[in-house]
Order: sequence, then C-alpha cells, then structure tokens
Amino acid sequence: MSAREDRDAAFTAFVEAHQVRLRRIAYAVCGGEWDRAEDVLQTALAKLYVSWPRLHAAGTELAYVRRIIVNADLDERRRPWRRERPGLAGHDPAARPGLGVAERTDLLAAVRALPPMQRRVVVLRHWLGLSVAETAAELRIAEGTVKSQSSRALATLREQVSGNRVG
Amino acid sequence: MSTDLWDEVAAALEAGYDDEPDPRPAGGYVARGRRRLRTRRLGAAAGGAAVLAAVVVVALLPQGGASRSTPDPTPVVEAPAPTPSVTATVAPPAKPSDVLVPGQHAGYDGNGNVVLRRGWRIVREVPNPLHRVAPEASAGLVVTDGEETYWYLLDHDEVGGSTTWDPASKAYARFEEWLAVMTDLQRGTEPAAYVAFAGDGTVLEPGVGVRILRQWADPDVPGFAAPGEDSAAAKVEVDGRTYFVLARRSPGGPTDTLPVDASLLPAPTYDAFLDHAREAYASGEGLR
Repeated sequence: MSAREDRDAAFTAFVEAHQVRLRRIAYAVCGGEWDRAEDVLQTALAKLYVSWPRLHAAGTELAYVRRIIVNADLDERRRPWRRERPGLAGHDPAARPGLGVAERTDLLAAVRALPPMQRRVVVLRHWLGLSVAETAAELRIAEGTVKSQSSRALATLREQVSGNRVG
Repeated sequence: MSTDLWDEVAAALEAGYDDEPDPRPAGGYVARGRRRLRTRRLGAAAGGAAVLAAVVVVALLPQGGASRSTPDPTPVVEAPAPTPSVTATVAPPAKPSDVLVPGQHAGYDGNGNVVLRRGWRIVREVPNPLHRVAPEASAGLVVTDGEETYWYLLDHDEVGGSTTWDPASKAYARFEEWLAVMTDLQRGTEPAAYVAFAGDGTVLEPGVGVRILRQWADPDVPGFAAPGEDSAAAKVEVDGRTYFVLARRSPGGPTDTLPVDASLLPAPTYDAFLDHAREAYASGEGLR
C-alpha cells in the first residue's frame, strides 16, 4: 500500500467514525444552519487531511478538527458581511428518552438563540466537557470571560426554559 | 439546578436531530483534502479578476505556442519533460470555465495543455518538477500580465489536474525555493525544515545547512499553535539569506515549520515578522 493509500485509508476511517458528531458540533456553534455546518466541516476536514501525518502521529486529530470548526466559524462571523440568522426553519429536534420532545425542542432552541460566544462556551465547556482553561484557549478568550459567558448563558437558558415549562 | 440544566443541554446536543442530513461519503472529504493539499491557492481571491476572459491555449510541447517562454535551462529537478499524449495535440481547446477558476491565470486542461488567461504570459518555466510520466505532466511556471506576477505549480495526473499558485514573493523570495516546497507538499512529503525542536524540549536546533541566529519561545501569534502544542520562532540564515521561522509541535509529533524570507517583510526584524504572521492568521489565510 502506498503512503497516499495509507493516508487515505486512515483518514477515511476517521471521517466515518467522527463526521456525524463533528457536524453536530459545527451545527451547534453555527447556530442552526446545516449548510453552514457542512461547509465548516468540509473546511476543517480538508485542513486535517493536509496535516494528517503530523496530527495522526500525535493522536491529536479530533482536537485539531474541533478547534478548526470553532475557529472557522468565529473567523467567518467576524467578517462584516456575515449576518446572524435564526435557526433552521422546520427543524424539529428528535425525541430523547428522559426529556420530552417539547422540552428538548425548547432547550435546543434556547441554546441556538444564545449570542455566538455564549453558544460556543456552552458547546465546549458543557457539552464537550473542556475545562475553563481549555475552553479559554480554544476560543482565544480569558478564563474570566469563559466564566462570565457561561454564567450569562445559564441565566438566559434557565429563564427561557423555566418560562416555557411553566407557561 | 444549574448542573441539571447543563446535563440536559449536553444530553440534548448529544442526541442529535431527527432530520439532520445523512452523513456524506467519506470519499468526498478525501477528495477535497487531496485538492487542498495540491491546491494551496493562497491569496487566490485577491486576484480579483473574476470576469473570465478568453484564454490562450498553449500545448505543452517544445514547439508550443508563441506566448510561451523558453524553458528554464536550469530545472529544479532533473527529470525528462513529459511526452504529451497524441490526443493532447489534436483535442480542441477546453472551455475556459472548465479550466480556470476566478483568480486563476494558468492551468492544465484535461488533455495536458497549458491554458493561460488572456493578457498573461509565461516568463519562466521549469519542466516536470513532479516527475510525471506521459500522458501525465507537471510544470512550474512564472506568469505575469506585466503588472502582477504569480508562481504556479501545475499537475496533470490520472485523477485529474490540480494547480497551486501564489503571488510571487509572498513568503519566499526565490521561485526555486517556492517550487521546491510546493513540490514536496504535492508529493505528500514534508519540506526540509530549517529548524526542529531538539528532543522533547522546546529549544530549536538548526536543520542541515542552517544557522540559527536567534530564537524565541512561545511567539504571540493567535491561531498558530493549539493549546498544548510547543511553539517557537527563530531567525535563521540559509545559503546567505535570512528567514524568520515559526515552529510548532503537537505532543509526540514532528516539528512543523513556516518560514518567511526576511527580505519580504517591511523591515527585517522580529517585530515585523510577528506583525506579518499575526495578520496572516487573523485573516484566516495563515502562512502556508
């Protein structure tokens, strides 16, 4: 098997194992745009392919792609022409055992409505389980900013969710 | 309460969505990665000339078109020039839109003919730097419209053509250096590094023929190194020329280096280099 075939086989195995979750991460940080999430994922995986030998040897492929996804979307949104759009129309999250469909829909909608940086903090810190320091490094912000963004996100989510559940 | 809510959020995100699109075949991502590996179109969009003009088709033959330059007498690699297939000499010119994308000035058509955008000409050519065997082909080109100049590496292989180009002197002062690096990358091998981290430490040591003039730990270039990666910068001298180099290394991985010729900076100083690097990463383009 040639070096390129080796590279392609290993890369393909990685993509097949992780692409669904990686796209969900992209979707979450993009604020609910599947097309945009796919673009971001494609960009991240293409960059990964270029650096595959180095990253695969170090076992840091997943962390690298995750960082590219978050940063790609940040960079994109820093452009002045980029405008935030609301969630995907007609998109209905699936039911999950232990959480009602309506509750889960409300929760994901509330996450999607968070300001971009709060949304990223939620994804990295509270979904993917990064520490405060790791989240700060990933997003290139101060640890104090991670805490404040997390706190604000929690307040917003709590308010929205409790309002929906009471109402 | 907060812990419960975060748990619910995590669970909801983890569970995914009913109508999320089906996963795409992994082969598509592989193909895109290959294209990116081959086609590092840095600054391509800056070409700006989005309106496609008519193109001049120049056969990749010794007796090629009138606008073609004389092949470089000192090729970067010692390899026979490709022998174009018969079809390459009789096939009709490709449609411009099939060959050149906006911002691109030169490329191969499907038959291994070099296609140039109108108004652009080849001023230098290095034949077959990728050692392709006919009907495959490759070429290193310097093209210009009299105002702007670009460096190109064209590749025509069994899985289709690819093109790599940069504005001249973007990171390398000499075309030969740029072409050697792009050729290595195209082959999937890492270019010879100017520096590398010594052992498990964070001190840089010079590559063969390289002299480190000074080095700095942890250069402040947001986006260059990931959390947990080692990073450093160095000022080095190679063949009488001075470069600044950014170096990074993932845990357990090899050193990845990005050099910039000091003569291309506004001033040959470390501060000017950092400004250049920060700007490149802030734009999303990077230094590669």
